[in-house]
Amino acid sequence: MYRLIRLIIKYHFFLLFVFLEVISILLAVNFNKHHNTVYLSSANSIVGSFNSKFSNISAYLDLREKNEQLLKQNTELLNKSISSYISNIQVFDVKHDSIYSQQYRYISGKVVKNYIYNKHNYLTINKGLKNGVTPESGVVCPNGIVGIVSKSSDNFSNVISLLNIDLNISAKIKKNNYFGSLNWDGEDIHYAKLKEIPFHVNLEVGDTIITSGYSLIFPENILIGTISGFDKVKGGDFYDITVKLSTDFNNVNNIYIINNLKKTEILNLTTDNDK
Amino acid sequence: MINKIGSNIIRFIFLAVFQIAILNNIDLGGYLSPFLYILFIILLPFETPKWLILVSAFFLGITIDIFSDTIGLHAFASVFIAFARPSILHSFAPHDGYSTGSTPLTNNYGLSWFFRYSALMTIIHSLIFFYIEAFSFEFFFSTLWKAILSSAFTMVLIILSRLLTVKRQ
Repeated sequence: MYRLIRLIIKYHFFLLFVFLEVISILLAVNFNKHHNTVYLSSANSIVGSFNSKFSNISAYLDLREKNEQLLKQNTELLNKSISSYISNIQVFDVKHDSIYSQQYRYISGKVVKNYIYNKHNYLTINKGLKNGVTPESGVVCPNGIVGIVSKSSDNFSNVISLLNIDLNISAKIKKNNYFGSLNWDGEDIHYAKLKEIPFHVNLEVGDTIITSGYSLIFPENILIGTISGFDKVKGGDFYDITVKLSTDFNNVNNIYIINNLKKTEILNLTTDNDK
Repeated sequence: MINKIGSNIIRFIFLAVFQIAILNNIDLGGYLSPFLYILFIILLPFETPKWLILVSAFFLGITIDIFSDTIGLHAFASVFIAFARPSILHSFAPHDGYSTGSTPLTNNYGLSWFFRYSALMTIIHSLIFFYIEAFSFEFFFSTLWKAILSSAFTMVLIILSRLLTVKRQ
């Protein structure tokens, strides 16, 4: 026992080093890979409020650009709103509540923290369970899609960024409706890869890529980006398509969270299928 | 002695806040992320007990981690350079050794000595951080490029900060 203690004292520097590195690796694997972090992540309200103070300050720096973006989107929305149209059919009384039922609800929010340097990137937003944000809601910004909510605390939520090599999003080509899955390859933050488009599809550089609406997360027709190049992979059946993302992840601030109100209904249907 | 402890604690807090509040928010194309906070580990006095270097490096790393959503990564890289520091200092020692009571500052052993020592520490730290972060060698060259650019940027900041403080003294 005495010799053991003497050995520990003699090699305390190396042993302490190994001990601390093992702790670090355990923490890294538990918290970063699976991200079921409840205790120490920025969704934690103390750190979250600290970060939102800094983002409040930095939000002032590009107010002008943000305003222009919002104005542009407002005009687009106004153009679509029912008050801008005159009904051609005067005979019918349009009742929105009986003919249409709302499937997607939008909640506006702000990005509190945004990482783009890693291979697995996450964002933190200032809306949480109290505001009706639940995990697996989609997140979009005025220019395109941003990511998917992974977990929510009362006031903040953690979002898996599109710039995360583990995230796949169902996307389609606007002009001919062929769909595939979109995934970031971990290289350039402005480009992602679209897979599973077969060779017989006609493609052109500049074709628009939008969400397919086949997942329960994003509605159809949300802009993702445009094709910037494509290749036929030798020996494969599918194109290797590079997509220029419309969202500039250097500059994401105002976002909308999308709740699918009919999600449980659809899920119930599909679980019946599985039986 | 107490004075030294106090100034190191202040440096710890200042560098951590500076890293979290300012450097973490710098976006330069997704490739440059300076880690000025390791200046704390570089500047600890020569006689600091080895175990204390490890422990303080771990706490500095974990503090940065909590605020950067990278739990464990900064801690790992910081503890590693804290472990390597005694050997690096030993290999760079002048002929008559380090004089007792001095610290690894520019004005003690010259700018070129300080540059070589801190550059080696910075490069080791960046390489370890980015490879652990990528967790594979799949992106070998982009990760290497990232580590080199970031450590160069960190070195520029370290030298700048040293020049500023030396002028003031």
